[in-house]
Amino acid sequence: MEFKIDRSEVLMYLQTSKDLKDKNIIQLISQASAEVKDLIDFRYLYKKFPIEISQKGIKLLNTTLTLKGKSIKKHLKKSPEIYLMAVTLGVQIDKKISLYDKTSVTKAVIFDACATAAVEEGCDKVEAEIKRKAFNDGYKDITFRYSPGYGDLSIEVQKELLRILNAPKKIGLTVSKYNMLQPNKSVTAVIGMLTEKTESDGEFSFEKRHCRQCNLYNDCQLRRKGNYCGTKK
Amino acid sequence: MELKNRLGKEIIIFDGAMGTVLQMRGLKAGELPEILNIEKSKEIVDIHKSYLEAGAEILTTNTFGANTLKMDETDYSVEEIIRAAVSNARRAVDESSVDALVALDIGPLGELLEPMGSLTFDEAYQLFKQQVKIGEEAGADLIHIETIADLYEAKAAVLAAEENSDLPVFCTMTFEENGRTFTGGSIRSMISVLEGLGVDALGLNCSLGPEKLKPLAEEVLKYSEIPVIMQANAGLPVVEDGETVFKISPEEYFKPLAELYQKGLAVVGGCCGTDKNFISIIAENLKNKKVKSRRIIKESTVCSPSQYVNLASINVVGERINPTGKPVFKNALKNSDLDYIFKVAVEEVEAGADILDVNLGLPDIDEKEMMIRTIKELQGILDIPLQIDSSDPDVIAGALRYYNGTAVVNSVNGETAVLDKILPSVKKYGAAVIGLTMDESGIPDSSEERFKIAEKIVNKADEYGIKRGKIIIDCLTLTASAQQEGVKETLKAIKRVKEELGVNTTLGISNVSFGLPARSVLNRTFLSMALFQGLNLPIIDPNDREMMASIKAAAVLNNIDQGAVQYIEYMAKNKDNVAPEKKEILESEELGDKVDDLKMVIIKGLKNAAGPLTEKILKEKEALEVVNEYLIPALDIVGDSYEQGEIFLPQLVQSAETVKEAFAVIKQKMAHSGGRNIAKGKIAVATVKGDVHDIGKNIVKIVLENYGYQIIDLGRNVQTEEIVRTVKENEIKLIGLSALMTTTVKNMEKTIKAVRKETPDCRIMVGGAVLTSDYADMIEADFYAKDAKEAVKIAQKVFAEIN
Repeated sequence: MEFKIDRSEVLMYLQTSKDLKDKNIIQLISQASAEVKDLIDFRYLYKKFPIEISQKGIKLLNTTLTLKGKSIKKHLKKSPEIYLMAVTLGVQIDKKISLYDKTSVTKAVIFDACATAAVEEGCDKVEAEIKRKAFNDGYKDITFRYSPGYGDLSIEVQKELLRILNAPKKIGLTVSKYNMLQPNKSVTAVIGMLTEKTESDGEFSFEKRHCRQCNLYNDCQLRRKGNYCGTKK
Repeated sequence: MELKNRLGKEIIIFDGAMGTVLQMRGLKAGELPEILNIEKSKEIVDIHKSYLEAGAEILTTNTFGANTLKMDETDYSVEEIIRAAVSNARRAVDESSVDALVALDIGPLGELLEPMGSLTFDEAYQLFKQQVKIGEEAGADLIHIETIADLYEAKAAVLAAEENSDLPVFCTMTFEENGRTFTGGSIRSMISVLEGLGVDALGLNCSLGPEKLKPLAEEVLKYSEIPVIMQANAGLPVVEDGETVFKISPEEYFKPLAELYQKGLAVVGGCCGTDKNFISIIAENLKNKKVKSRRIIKESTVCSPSQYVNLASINVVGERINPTGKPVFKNALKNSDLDYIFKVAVEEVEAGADILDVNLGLPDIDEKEMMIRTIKELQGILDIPLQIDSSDPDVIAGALRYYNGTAVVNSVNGETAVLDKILPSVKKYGAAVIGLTMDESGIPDSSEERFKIAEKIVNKADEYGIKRGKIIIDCLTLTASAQQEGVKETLKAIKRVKEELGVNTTLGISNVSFGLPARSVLNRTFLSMALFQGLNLPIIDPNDREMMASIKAAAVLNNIDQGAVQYIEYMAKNKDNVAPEKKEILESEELGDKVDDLKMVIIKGLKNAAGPLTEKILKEKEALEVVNEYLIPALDIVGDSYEQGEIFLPQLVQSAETVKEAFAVIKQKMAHSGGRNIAKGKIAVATVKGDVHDIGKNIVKIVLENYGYQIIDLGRNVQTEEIVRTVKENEIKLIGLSALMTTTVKNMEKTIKAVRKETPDCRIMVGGAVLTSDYADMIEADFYAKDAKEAVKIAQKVFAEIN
């Protein structure tokens, strides 16, 4: 899979202005982007599950998993089926970040931002693939990617979610006791299938939909500058 | 069945998949198959029996994930599960009245080990140890470690098996089509490490079907000196109607196996997607057949998981990680400042070293602790194999245990006591070892005497079962200005030990020229002469390009670098003779930046210009003046611009690193002149247990350093106990803790409690992605630092109160 690593995305993760002029930094971003592209070992998995919405939460049929919380219930309330997805950039990216951590913090910061941009780009591609499948199955739309840790969906479901996808064995994606995905530059998410087309939202409703549920809503520097993390395209 | 008598002589047949069969029988996604050993034991026994009927001679217990990490989620203990599993397999064997063995199956722990993950090597070892002990007690006949993707995890499992049981140990790893594991490990490294650790058989399983695994298996068969196992999947899984299915037929599955049998495969079984039909066809064709003999390429290698070095070739050992005669290095070691070492290591790798010698011998430090820590950190960031340089057997044993790969030990000598203390560890961990041709009475003058010592070392190593290829003799360089006639004796001895003892050789070069002018000419000439005598591992400073060029040239002329590939590559890379730092300065100048104003250099973040400029200014000014007149004012300007939103985080960090370069020069000058310490106070920083991401902490660290604080950086994923110990030992008055996840903030809280209890006068500041000031209050930190600038303000406040 080819990665572009868009500079404006990288600048967003670096929390700089969109038209940063510093030529050193710009040069470091180009170098880091090239390195990231070279080191990416992109692997992904997704699988469809019928769901049942109950008092307890969203139950994935034929599995052990129930997704709990108000926010995920709201997110999936119109979906008869969902996809679970997992993507990872592999361990070489983490290793290189560690190297720069020890030798140049500037490079570490920039490399990290490039890798984050890459993993989101990877997610977009997987989401597009899922969307095509959904349309083939007769669905009219899909929800945005919803990840453990958003809203009140606990990150404690990571382990079970990965187990259901057999992700440790198939793509080498694991989770630590502290629910941190390892390799670090990885994402898991839930996407709901929709039988009706949703209307597109403006900037403001994006914030309402995503950010209000976030633990860091009040302290978020990105949001104040009109930028958004993760789920924004 | 007598395993040891049959292994490698007659084909041994394993069973097929357990998980797949259970899924076909209705196991839900996400369910842990191990609990069925207890809840549906009859079903498990039936599956085992079906494999025995099909012709399997070894049953693997249904214990792939039976470790505490996973079993904690169930109502059963590891002990209950493993005992039930072994007894199920045993019952199947007894009731089927066949001659078959029961293998305790051990799969990966499911979490990544350090440095990629937060699970430590020792924790992994303990988890495996528990499984091994219960398994042996329960009556397993062998230990089968499988589907491992991380060589370090394989090492922990194999050590746990070997140190806690007397059972035979098999180990298979799982590779992708490109011949690498998920963590980047190579087949050659797997062979080097597992053979070195002394497993009874090794090989491949899972990930791919037999057709795709075939080329990888062929590589294993080519280089492994011990019996080879293969347990392939039933091809790649395909999703049909939302279900994962394997489409390959048993006949298709067997075809590549038949070919591999001809090439010397010794143990064969199935993995995911296989069932009794697959095992039947293997048994029908191969049962009781003799293992075919194969031609093995015997190379002695040292390796990291992803890189290996053939010791018999010519390879450069980088010598610069060594504090001898380097005051700055010594200071860094005393202050546990590993960054200095990393910088040196990275330079050596970039300059083209093939192995890095690591010597941390300094009287007033805990060498063992420092060595283990450094090795763990170095293997976390670099792929180059390491050479452990110490005279202390305890340091060597510790380093070998935690090294992720096959290392070189530097060194033993001809003293019997030294050999008996160090060689057992060398053997146990499969390392290579350097033997110095000297003993109690010093370095002998003649080549004959040195040869005799080499012979003694080799004989001793033979006794311990260390292969010749892993012995590296150092015939020792003498100084031409003092012992001119001795230089030739060294050269003579090299040739003799190589030809008559069949070992490899190493030599430190630069001593030869000590006390004479134009040392580099003597060094290079001596190096060429030694290479001609057959030197394999010159120990040099790889930044010396002329020496490097001579080595590359000799490898061509000795017909080792065939087609001059490496020579051409090295010359192409180094044809432009400007050092990289100079080049960047030139580029900056071309881009129109002024590089003669230190303040401007800092503000613009021109990292490579800062060092030389500081040196220039230090000729006229005192260290403290440079700090107060240039560094601090520039930092203030940068800090203000950042707060005003005129510059952004990467620029702030870039300027901070530029100041760090200037500081490095100042420190170097003070280390040489023994000047007054200008540090304002000691601060410890750490990312708490569970968090492996520490960019934020590193930004805080570098900015605090800029403001003159001495930082003790404990790194990431740090245990509470280690933090408390450091605070105590160094009488730390301020500590900075970082946490990234809500789940690890709990460890932060635990650490705060422990620090409070043990050292009540140490103040604590916290920061990190999920923290807020409310949160900081809740866990009873003294300060919340939202960013690096804030941390500086806190430090200024704390130290103002103290002083």
